Amino acid sequence: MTSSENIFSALIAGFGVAATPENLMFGILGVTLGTAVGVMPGLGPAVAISLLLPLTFGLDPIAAFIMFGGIYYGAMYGGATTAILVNTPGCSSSAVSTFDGHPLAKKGRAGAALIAAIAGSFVGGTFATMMLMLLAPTLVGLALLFGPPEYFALMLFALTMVASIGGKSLAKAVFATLLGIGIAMIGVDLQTGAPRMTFGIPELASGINVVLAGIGLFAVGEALWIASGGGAKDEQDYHSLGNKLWMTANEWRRSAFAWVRGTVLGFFAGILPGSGGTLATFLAYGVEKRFSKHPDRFGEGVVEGVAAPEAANNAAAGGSMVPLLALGIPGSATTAVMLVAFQIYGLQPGPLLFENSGDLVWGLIASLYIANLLLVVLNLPLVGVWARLLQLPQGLLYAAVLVFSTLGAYSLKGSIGDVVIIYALGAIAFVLRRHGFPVAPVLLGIVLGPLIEQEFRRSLAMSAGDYMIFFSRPIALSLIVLTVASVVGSTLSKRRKNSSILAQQDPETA
Amino acid sequence: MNFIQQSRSSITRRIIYTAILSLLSFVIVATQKTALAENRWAPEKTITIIAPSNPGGGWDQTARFLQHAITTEDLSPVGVEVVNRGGAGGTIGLGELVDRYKGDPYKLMVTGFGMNGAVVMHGSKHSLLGGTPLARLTGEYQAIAVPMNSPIHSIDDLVAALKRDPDAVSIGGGSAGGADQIFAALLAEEVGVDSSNLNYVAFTGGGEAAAALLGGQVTAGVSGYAEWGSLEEAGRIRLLAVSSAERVVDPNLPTFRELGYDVVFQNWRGVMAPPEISDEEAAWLSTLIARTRATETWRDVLEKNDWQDSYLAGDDFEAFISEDSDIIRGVLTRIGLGAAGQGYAEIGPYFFPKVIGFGLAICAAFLGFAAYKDRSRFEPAPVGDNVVAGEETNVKRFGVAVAALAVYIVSLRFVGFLIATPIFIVALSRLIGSRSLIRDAIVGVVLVIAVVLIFENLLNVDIP
Repeated sequence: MTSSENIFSALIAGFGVAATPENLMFGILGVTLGTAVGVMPGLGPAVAISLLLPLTFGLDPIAAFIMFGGIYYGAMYGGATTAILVNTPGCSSSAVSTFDGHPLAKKGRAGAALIAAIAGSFVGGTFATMMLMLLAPTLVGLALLFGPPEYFALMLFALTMVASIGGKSLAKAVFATLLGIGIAMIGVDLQTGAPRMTFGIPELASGINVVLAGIGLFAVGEALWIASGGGAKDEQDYHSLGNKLWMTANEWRRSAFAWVRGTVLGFFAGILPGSGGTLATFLAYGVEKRFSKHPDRFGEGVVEGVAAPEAANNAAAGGSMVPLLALGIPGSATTAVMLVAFQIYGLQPGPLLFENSGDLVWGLIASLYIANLLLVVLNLPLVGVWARLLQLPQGLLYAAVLVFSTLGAYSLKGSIGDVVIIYALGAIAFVLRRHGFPVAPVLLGIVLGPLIEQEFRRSLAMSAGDYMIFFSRPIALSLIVLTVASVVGSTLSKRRKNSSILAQQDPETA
Repeated sequence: MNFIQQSRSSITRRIIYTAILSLLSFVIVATQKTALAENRWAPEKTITIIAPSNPGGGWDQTARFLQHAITTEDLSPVGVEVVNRGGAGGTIGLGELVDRYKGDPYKLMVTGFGMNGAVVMHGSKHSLLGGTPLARLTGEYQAIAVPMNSPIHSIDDLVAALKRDPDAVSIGGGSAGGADQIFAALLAEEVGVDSSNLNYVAFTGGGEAAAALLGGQVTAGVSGYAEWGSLEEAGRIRLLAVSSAERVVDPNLPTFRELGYDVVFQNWRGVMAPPEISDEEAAWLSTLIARTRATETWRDVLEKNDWQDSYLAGDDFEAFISEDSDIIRGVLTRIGLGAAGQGYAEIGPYFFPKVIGFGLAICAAFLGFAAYKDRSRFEPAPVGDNVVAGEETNVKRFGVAVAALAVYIVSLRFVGFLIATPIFIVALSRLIGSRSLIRDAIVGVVLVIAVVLIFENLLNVDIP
């Protein structure tokens, strides 16, 4: 990675390696499979790649990578389709896309929401791949500046996003967040190995992870909600979807900024090992709402609300390749599986990867571009088809959602215990919704809880109990100041708004 | 003469007898031999290797590389698949192997040091010896690294710093009670530092620990040699010593032993089978593992991963396992980890749950008060996610839906996915308002067939 001409010629060579008809076939296969597993609750890209790994043993490495890249990006996008159409995200990093995506679908704008998601995925994925190509070594240095105190401060900041997603009662939103953090603490403590709230049940020892939480709270929760008679859908709305399938000029303009902001946020969240795509989507949504001229319309169905998180999760997928390629450190479950795949093909990701196996790496980067392009080419014509999913009989649709949720949860570890967990979470989500509590903060709590706690305790272990560690490091301190400013700022603006327009309630949804 | 004749005839008779007898015995032995050959067990369906971790972990890698080697070298007459049964340091997988797959010779499981540790730490009722340990396959030696710009240049420097003030030296590694921490504790004990005072910072995995070390967040890092190899090669970190007895992984890297610290340690991985399989079955599986280990592909795998060939089978392996358990139990007791432990850091494992519980109680009290104050305006209509005001949910129907889920989950175990699912689909669809029973039934059956075809046959996903 020396000069730009070198990068350019290397990339051209990479395309030469990657863009063969045979490889394109594998790319198409990967995107299709990825979209399919993304649609199904619980089956994410990590599972899909590890399942397909044995089938690629005999393949050319580039063919395998182009397929894996397709699966990764495809799954990130696929999860959004069901989130938008039936309010059941296919994976936890698509949960945020339900906030505005589903209201859009209810308004008959499913097509626009899907296009915002596809284009967002494309922008996020392409930009992330470009950054990966140009800046990987520099960015890795940046990521390494983040130690436990910085992570802790960042997670505190992320926690303030609850004000953006929590609906109109802050107390209820805080309750839901704390509930999520509490749920996340079930299991064996990483620092001491002590079992917490496991009640002697071995299935609880490994905790309730984000994937299970996403399926349980959203997919199962929504199916139970529908089964209990909530949200009985007005068929009329859905039949009118044919008219306005495409986005309006105004929506394109608003989405463009959302894509850019979502991409940047998502990419940087992806670089940090361990934080992941779901967090990126929450951050992107919260920030988008803050930047918006009409924050009160978020949750009623605005395209930015889909565009930002969808760009963010694909950018995060690209971002997580940075520590993988540059340091050999997998930042997510999917990249951990890809690391195994690399090793099977004789590649050792790490600082010397570009020198030792340059042609393969450039082939891989070219194949990420190709996979990203294929995603758009394959999925745009399918928008109309996907949107028709809404015209399926509701009973069958949600019964199928439950069956796939069950399969997805079971396939993670082959444990019926996990199936029980998602059903229980679904029931909790139902009870919360019935009493006017927002559900999204529970997921935010489950995502952030373990990070907040473990990074806090790691920090104190590093400083041997000195709390100054959070205030003596510049990045950590600035993040804490930002958090405080954000809390104070939103409290003040809310108070001002409340006094000026007391009667008007902002109809946010969770 | 008479005597001679007599004796001669008796001799002839005896020869004939002997001949008949030996012929008989030959026939018996021969038939026995063929019978034995017929009894020799060979598998008839796919063999499943259980990786007791989630995709991407060390056990998962071992399982997938084993599958790779067996398949590439064509060592098995039947297919080999890998499934993940992660959780609780591998004890979930162990429990399943011992309880559910008792006597099933088509299941193999990857095991290792970490599982032995988790058994002790979680007080699991199963142990490795409760199954059929087949062989130890690989070993990874632990190495201690410091950032390139660290003032610490040797193990002696590190030990001196530890002795001066254990609090000032933070050591990063994998999760609590794993190989990294056990090794760090063994080293501390060797140099006379109380291992319960060791300032160990647990990360989710070796990768995150490596990132923390590179960023200078911890003084030193403990991990498998392979985890550090490429970082050292690139000049990002400095390796101080490795836990092997001789210099095997890197001729330039000294061992702890030659530096005067008698800690030889390896993070081993191996393969075990369920309990109560027959001797023939165990023999066939052991042979499969032994043959795999001898192949070129496997040697290649070892080399690529910087794994050592630490093959050990049979009784020796079992003896090794119990020795290993004793060492782990001793260390964990001394540092106070696991089921009985309270933790060593200032903020223990129960601090955060208490804070959260307290916060929830405050929120609940606040909400209760607000509801009491507003009781005149109390409205039961839910204002939840994407819900149009005025939508009502019916608790009775919710009860029916939950009951349907409960019945479904129980019937998955007893009736199976194939039969339970179409019935569940029809029932739930009807609950949501469908009135076309036949259409639902057809869709249900078609869906189930499609799922089985795609998931089980194409993707190899285990279906309940």
